[in-house]
Parts: sequence; structure tokens; C-alpha cells
Amino acid sequence: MTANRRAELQRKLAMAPVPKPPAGLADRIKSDIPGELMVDADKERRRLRQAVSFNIRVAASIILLVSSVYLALNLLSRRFGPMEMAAKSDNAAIEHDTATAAAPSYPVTAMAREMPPAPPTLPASAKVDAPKLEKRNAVIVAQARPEPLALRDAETAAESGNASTKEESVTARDRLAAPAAAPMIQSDSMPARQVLDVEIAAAPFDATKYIVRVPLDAQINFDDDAVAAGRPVAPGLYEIIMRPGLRDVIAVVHDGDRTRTIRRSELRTWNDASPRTKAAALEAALAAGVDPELVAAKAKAAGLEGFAAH
Amino acid sequence: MIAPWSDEHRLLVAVRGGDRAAAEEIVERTYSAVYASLYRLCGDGDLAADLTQETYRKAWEALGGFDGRSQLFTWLYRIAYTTFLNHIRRPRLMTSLDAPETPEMPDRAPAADEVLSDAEESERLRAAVLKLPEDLRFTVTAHFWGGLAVKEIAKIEDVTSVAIRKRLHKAFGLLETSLDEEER
Repeated sequence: MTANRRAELQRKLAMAPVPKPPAGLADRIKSDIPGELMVDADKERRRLRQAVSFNIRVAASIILLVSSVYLALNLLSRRFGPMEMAAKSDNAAIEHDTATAAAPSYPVTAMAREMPPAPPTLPASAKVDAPKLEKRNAVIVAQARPEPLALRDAETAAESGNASTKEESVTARDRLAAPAAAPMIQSDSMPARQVLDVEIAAAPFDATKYIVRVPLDAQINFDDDAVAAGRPVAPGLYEIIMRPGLRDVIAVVHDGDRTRTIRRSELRTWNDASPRTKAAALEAALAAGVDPELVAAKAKAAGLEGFAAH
Repeated sequence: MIAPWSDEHRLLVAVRGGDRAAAEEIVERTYSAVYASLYRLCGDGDLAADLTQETYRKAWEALGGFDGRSQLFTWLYRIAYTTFLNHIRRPRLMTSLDAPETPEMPDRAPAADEVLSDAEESERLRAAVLKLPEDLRFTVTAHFWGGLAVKEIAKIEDVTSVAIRKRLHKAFGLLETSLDEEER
């Protein structure tokens, strides 16, 4: 743009025709002047305060709304998350029921013969393969049919012809030292009140077996890829024989709408088991006919002085 | 340019105190300029008068919010401009840019063809200005049709005077292009 052109434009803009205001316009405008022109400072201040408080209320409402939605979503996800898992596990249990009904049942002792004397070193960091859990072929459901522990032990001892069970137990326990350092069983993203009290530890008198303690009313489904056999030995207490391998998921426990998965990384040695589990296991052994002196010695070694004296 | 009044502050204080005569004095001093600005914006004498009246109605209502950072006329012009924009944004009340009313010109006895030519040219220029982007349009109209100083526009737009000058420069470029296209 040249300076001349710019100047011309400026001139045209500035020299645009300026008409006279129509007659009476000033009077019309003056007649619109309100009767009360006075600006009340207090009124203005009040109006400003009201505007500010309104804005604050709107902001607070938005924050409250967002918080409520977040909380609701959080609660819903917590509520429906475990229920979905329970539903999946229930489906698996139904499949299993069908499978167990069709499959021949064989005694624990026979299975024990087929198994190696002790489980391999247990990887504490073994990962869970959730999809595989759904696809498992069959699940062993423990039946509420207690079997005398002493009889089983006697049979096992007779068949193995090995009197050095205790030494093997010690060796097995040593091998289990690493996983014993695993943290306490925690349910995934569950509040404390919803965590199922579940524990898995080596059996007191046979290191080839494990005991699983669950709540009394809970239902437990063992994964047959990880568990060769299992049976209840007392209410809420099961004895299982593990298969060798790296299968991480051992069992799924259901109690109402709560579900807990027991993993191999949660295995504990007998020494690291909780006093409650130790007492329950020893009581079951006693009820099954194990020598009370042996049980008392074990209880004493476990620090259960009261139990031993009883 | 509208020169700031020495007694502007006094008048404002009086109006805020409920002095009707002071309000009337403000009207007397400003309404011609407000009307002229609106006429240049809309190109219609009656409409400009109505918009002027509406501008003052809004001004009385908003007087409590006038903080005195700018001159009173600058503040009034801003209200007038917004009133005009609100008017043309009402779809059915859109001001026609193609068939403007012939303005009532000051009596300087020009030749008939000269009046027609000037009116046409003014109208083309007005149409081109109204087609400018909002910030440029306000700057051009406030400076040339509202008679506001660059510094005052900068104050009301909360930018620097340099920015306003840049806007004017850019606006001239766009206006020239627009007018040239129309001539072709």
C-alpha cells in the first residue's frame, strides 16, 4: 500500500458524512434518564458479593458433582469387579462339576505315589495368566468328606518305605524358604473388610502336602493344573498335593460375593505359617489320629505352648 | 477527536449522587457524537437515533460499573458499538448494506451528481469496514467514526498503542483490497 493510497483511505474514513441528529433526540434520551440515578455503593457491593457467592456456589456444585461421579464409579468398579470374577469362577466350577462327575475318582494316596516327593522351587514372581484360568480343563472341587489323616500318613509311609520323612520335610521346608518371604495374602484392589482370610502353608507332618485354610462358609475350587488332589480335613481346612510345574494359580475361593485367588507365590513353609493355621492343622491331625505326642512336640516347636499343654 | 472534559469527574460524581441535571449535561455533550458514530456504523438515520437512545438506556443501567479508567465518551462509544453489533446480529433486524438510506447531509449545496457519488463511495467504504475482522473493525470505527484517540482505544482494548497502530495498518491493507475488488 502506497502512502498516498493510505492517506486517501484515511481521508475518506475521517470525512465520512456526519448527519445532524434528528430533532428531539436529546429530549428522548433525557426522558429515559431514570428517576433514581443515585448509585448506592452498598447496593453495588452487595450485588458484587452476590455475584461472587453465586460463582463460588457454581464452582462448588461442579466440584461436588465431579467428586460424586468419581466416587460412584469407584464404588461401582469395586462392587462389580469381584462379582464378575465370581461369575467366571462359578462358570468354571459348573464345568468342573461336570468334569468331576464324569472322571473316575482315585484316592489321594494313589496320586501321591505318582508325584515326586517334593514340589520344585516355587517362583515368587510367577505371573498369573488370567485367560488361562478361564480355559482350565477341570477344577478339583474339594468334597466335604474328611478322611482320617493318620490312615493316609500310614499308607504313605508304608508305600514309600521310607522312615526319613522328617529329614525330607526339613529339606522341603528349606526349599520353601524363599516364597515364605512373600507378602501376606492381599486381594486385588479390595478394601480390607472384603479380603478373605486365606492361607496356604506346608503341612505339619508331610512336606509333600500343603494345607489351605479358608473361611468356614467359603467354597474352594482347586486348579487341577497346579493341584493333583485335595480334600477337607476339618471345617475350613484342606490338605492338597501340588503338581510340579510353574502353574501360578492354585485355587479360587468364593465366599458370598467375594472371591480370592490363591497363588503359588503365597505358599509358606510350616514355620512361617500363622499360629491360627498351625493350630487348625495340628488340631485336624490330632482328630485324624496322629500320635498326640508328635502333635504336642510340633505345637511346642511352633510356639503354641497352650495347644501343646492341652 | 473528543477532548476529555476537565469537569468529567465532577459530572460523574454528581450523576452518581443522583443529580439529574448532571446526567442531562452529559447527554447534551455526548449524544451528537454517539449518534454520528452509530450513523456511520449503520448508515441509517432513524436506526442510529434508536440505537443512540438505547445506548444511553444501557449507560444509565451500567453507570455503577464504570470504573473511570477510560474517558466517559470512550465508555459510551463501547456501549454504542456493542448495541450496534447486537442489532445487526438479530437476524430479522439485519441492517441492509446494499440499500442504504440517503443520509441527511449538512447543507453545503453540492451538485446532485456529486452527492450521489460521495454517498455511493461512503457506502462502499462503510460496507468494507463492516466486513473487517472484529478487532480491526472496532479499531477503525472507534478511531475514525467514534473519534477516539489511539491511546484511548488501546486502554479500552487493554493492548498497547503500538498494537492499535498495527491493527489500523492491517485494516487499511484489507480495506484497499476489498475496495479494489469491488471496483473490478
